[in-house]
Amino acid sequence: MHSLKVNLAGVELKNPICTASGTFGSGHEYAPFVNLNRLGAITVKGVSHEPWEGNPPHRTAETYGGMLNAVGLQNPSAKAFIEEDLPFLRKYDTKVIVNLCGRSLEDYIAVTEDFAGVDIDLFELNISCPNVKAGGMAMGTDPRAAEAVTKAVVARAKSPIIVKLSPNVTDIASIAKACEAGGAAGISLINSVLGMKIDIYKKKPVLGNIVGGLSGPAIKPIAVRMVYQVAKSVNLPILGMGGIATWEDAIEFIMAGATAVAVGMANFTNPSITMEILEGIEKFMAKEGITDINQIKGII
Amino acid sequence: MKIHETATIKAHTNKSGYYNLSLYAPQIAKAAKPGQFVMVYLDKGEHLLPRPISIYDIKEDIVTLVYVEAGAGTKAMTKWPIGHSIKILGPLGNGFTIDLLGERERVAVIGGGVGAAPLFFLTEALYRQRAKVDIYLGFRDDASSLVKPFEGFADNIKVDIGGFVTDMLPPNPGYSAILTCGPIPMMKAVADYAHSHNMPCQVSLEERMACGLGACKGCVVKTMVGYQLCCDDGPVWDSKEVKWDA
Ligand SMILES: Cc1cc2nc3c(=O)[nH]c(=O)nc-3n(C[C@H](O)[C@H](O)[C@H](O)COP(=O)(O)OP(=O)(O)OC[C@H]3O[C@@H](n4cnc5c(N)ncnc54)[C@H](O)[C@@H]3O)c2cc1C
Ligand SMILES: Cc1cc2nc3c(=O)[nH]c(=O)nc-3n(C[C@H](O)[C@H](O)[C@H](O)COP(=O)(O)O)c2cc1C
Ligand code: FES
Repeated sequence: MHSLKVNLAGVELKNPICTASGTFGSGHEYAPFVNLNRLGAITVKGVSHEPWEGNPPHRTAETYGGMLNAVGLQNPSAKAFIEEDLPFLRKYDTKVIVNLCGRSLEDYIAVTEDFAGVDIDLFELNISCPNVKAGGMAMGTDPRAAEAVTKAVVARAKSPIIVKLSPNVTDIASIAKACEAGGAAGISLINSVLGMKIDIYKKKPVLGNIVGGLSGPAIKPIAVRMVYQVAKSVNLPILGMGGIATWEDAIEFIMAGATAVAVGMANFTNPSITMEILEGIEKFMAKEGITDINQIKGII
Repeated sequence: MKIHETATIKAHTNKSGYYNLSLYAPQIAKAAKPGQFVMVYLDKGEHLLPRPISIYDIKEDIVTLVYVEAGAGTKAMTKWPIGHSIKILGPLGNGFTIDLLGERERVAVIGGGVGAAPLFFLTEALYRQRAKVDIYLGFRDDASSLVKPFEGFADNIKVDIGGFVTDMLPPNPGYSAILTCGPIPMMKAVADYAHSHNMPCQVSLEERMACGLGACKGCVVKTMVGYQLCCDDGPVWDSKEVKWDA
């Protein structure tokens, strides 16, 4: 038998396959198509202290090998999530990762405090959303701001913090190091890549927000490269993502240094893709004689 | 219950630009109701997002869709041969609310262009409920393949080519309900007509979708209570709930 267990920031996952924030709702949307008990973890959509309305439509645009989104973190608030969605997720034997959003340091502190006394396995601090004007990505592109917000949230959270990084930077390693210095227990990357699409007949941007984040297979080589660079520069476990659509993609991320991986846009192309990826990894391990998934972690 | 089903193509015809795609999809066929839609997955490659298409008709195990070539994805669909298997997800969305439209009620069903497609499944259901249905359809060009099937299921059918479908609506209607699907300016005019005569009106709207499941928050429509999801809260709304100018 082979072991798929991994340890992500002190939390044991039964396997490395997770879902990416914002692409899997609060889990219940995919329950008819995915055995949620077989996921390593579910990362839920981003939540903030106050309800956020999100951006005007259109919010999505298909692009070659991927898609743009500018949802703008629409969510009904952490309180609503805790009351309405969390009890459902807790019925399943999987870990829950909550994606925390804010526009300012105070926002991030407030949303962290909303979860005081609430049973959450891991927090993913989202300092990388390209679709909110203030906070969001601005915090994730400046090492000093990244360190400060990490420190503030780590000091107040009861569960480990992994910080989700933006690929829209020149030196990803310097941001990861800043988060490590701020006390992060792990790094998650990549968020979407800032992009844009124009409707040449309407002579207008397709997205209501004009610009949006690119996800899907188109960004995978960027993501693999960044996971590799971060793995070489910090001593933290990595939740790798960006364009994973097949089990081969997932293995690539693990070899580049990811402890676990998250599947995002691919859920839209095939709602049961996470199960297919998991089965593919199991077959690969059997065929290659790999007894423990951790044996291939970071071998590059 | 939403189902991710493998569907085999049983028939696929092009009738002056309206493609009829009949799929063997017994589970979705059993569960669907009028006004709901399916997500049609394309053959990966260039098109990673599924396309939302309304349910046009259901006959036992066969789900039929009618679509027009609107861009690269629907163009790729036109090439699909009989016997080819695809994946579809459905039935999705709320559908029209018609439970109370029984034999005493007169109903107007108003469609424009390919928006007439979901109205056929709807009209069949209203017919079975014995409602009295008047059909008003508007097209830019001849669309007899879309009009013909309505015959026998409706009391009156009026068709306009090249003009405004609303010009055919009676001045003293007295309908219990107006149900419509088509281009936004048409539905807005229909909604204004309904309001001015104090009749309830249900409109079926479109927005770009990714998941189709209420998960991605990508498909929002502006309503009186803020953004709502076309795939989950919609695609059908009471016309008074929609913020048309947003
Ligand atoms: C609930 C619902 C029901 C629909 N029912 C039908 C139907 O019965 N018959 C029919 O012909 N068409 C229907 N449509 C419209 C159909 O989804 C689009 O024509 C189709 O997605 C266009 O895809 P494309 O690749 O050809 O065009 P492209 O413009 O190349 O598509 C690019 C992207 O934009 C999306 N998109 C483009 N136009 C629309 C649109 N009008 N609505 C939603 N998404 C769009 C596509 O899905 C794709 O993700 C429906 C739309 C919705 C939301
Ligand atoms: C529709 C959509 C919504 C997203 N929402 C969030 C979010 O709320 N928080 C977040 O950290 N990332 C969000 N993301 C980014 C994804 O979690 C992921 O980092 C990115 O899409 C890259 O992975 P992928 O290529 O597998 O999708 C979203 C992505 C998409 C496509
Ligand atoms: S398409 Fe994802 S929420 Fe509607």
